[in-house]
Amino acid sequence: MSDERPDGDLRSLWDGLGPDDAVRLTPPPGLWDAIAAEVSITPAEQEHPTAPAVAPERAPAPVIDLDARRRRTRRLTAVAAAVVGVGAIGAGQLTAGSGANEVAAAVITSDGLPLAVDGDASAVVLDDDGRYMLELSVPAMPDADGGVWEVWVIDTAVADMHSLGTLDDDGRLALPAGVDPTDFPIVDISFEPADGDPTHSGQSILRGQLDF
Amino acid sequence: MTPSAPPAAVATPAAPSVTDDERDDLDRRFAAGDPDALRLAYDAHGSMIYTFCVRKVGSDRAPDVTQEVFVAAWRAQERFDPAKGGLAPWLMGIAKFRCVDALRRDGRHAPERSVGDEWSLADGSAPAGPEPASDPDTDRLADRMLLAEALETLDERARRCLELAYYHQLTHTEISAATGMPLGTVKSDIRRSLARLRYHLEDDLDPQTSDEGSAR
Repeated sequence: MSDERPDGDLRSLWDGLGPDDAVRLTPPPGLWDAIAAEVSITPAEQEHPTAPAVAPERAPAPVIDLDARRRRTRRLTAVAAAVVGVGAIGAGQLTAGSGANEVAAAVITSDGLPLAVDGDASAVVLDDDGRYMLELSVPAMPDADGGVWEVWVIDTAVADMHSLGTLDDDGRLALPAGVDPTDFPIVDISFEPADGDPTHSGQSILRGQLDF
Repeated sequence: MTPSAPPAAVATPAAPSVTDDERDDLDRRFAAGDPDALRLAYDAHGSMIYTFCVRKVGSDRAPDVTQEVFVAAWRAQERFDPAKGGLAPWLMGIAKFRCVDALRRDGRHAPERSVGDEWSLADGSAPAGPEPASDPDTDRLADRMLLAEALETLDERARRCLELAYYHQLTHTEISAATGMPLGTVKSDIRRSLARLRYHLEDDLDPQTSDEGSAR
């Protein structure tokens, strides 16, 4: 009977449950105060109780659920294993408008990420007369079987992000109008399965922070 | 059918004893940007997030990372949609991201730590060196902690029914026979338990909800 059950993941998770997993440590006493101070929720500001310090309004952005990333781990195992080169991308192609200046650069790596690719990778931001472009130079990527490699820029709080689109042979992607790259200095490339879910899968393969 | 008991979620109780209504109310208030909601979310989930961070990045850095998690969560508060899942897994998702980033900033990728005897649970202090990793996967640790959290919210009877149904794979009828509980009670206990698990877990771990799955 168990073979017919679709609950293998839950059962396997449950099977791996140890006593440690139910242990809860008490956060240090000052931690809440530090959080409250950082988001400006303090007794002194109660006169503005409905206006806690939230991120400033930005141009309409794709809605990203940061937690949506967890639902796809199974498929990624196969993807990560199937490393098939698709050719180096974008190296040294600087054909943006003649006024394009490099304003920031980042080394992007697979360190600590769920997926990995060997080789050097970098990203630069070009300012083409007020239009920002991200130019990527990446090694041969694994085959994004069943999905695409999607490029994101993320803020340092990891509270907001923008998709720049799919990594293609060009390696150059425009930032959405109104998006200031200094607000979104983290460059991230993730595997996104073709499942209609526009949110970040959490399955990142390359990431780095731009230096302005 | 293995006769052995599943690993019990023991040690200190994981979750505060709140009702589903209280929990849902908090989630709605958080989504609505209620200024008290962040404090309530911290009270409800802070120790789980902090513990997760201790296990991922160590007790020295866990306070800072925990702070980052709640600050980031509040700044992204309008993205939280209670219809799509609970606040606990949403916060945990942010915590995973922040921990991985913290480790990257360190230039290291520390193995998962275990909460062992040598830990002082009262102050969260950890041994100097990282513990050997038994399961280094961040997602897995987060999911296990969320499952433990969900199980802790169940009363003993409901948890036992859930264990028999989803761990030991008994049918509702078999559970009724094994426990002497009326079939209707078994079903309602399991339905209630599954709702708790659904709140805490991801889609792909979402247990089957239909009675068909447990009936031959």
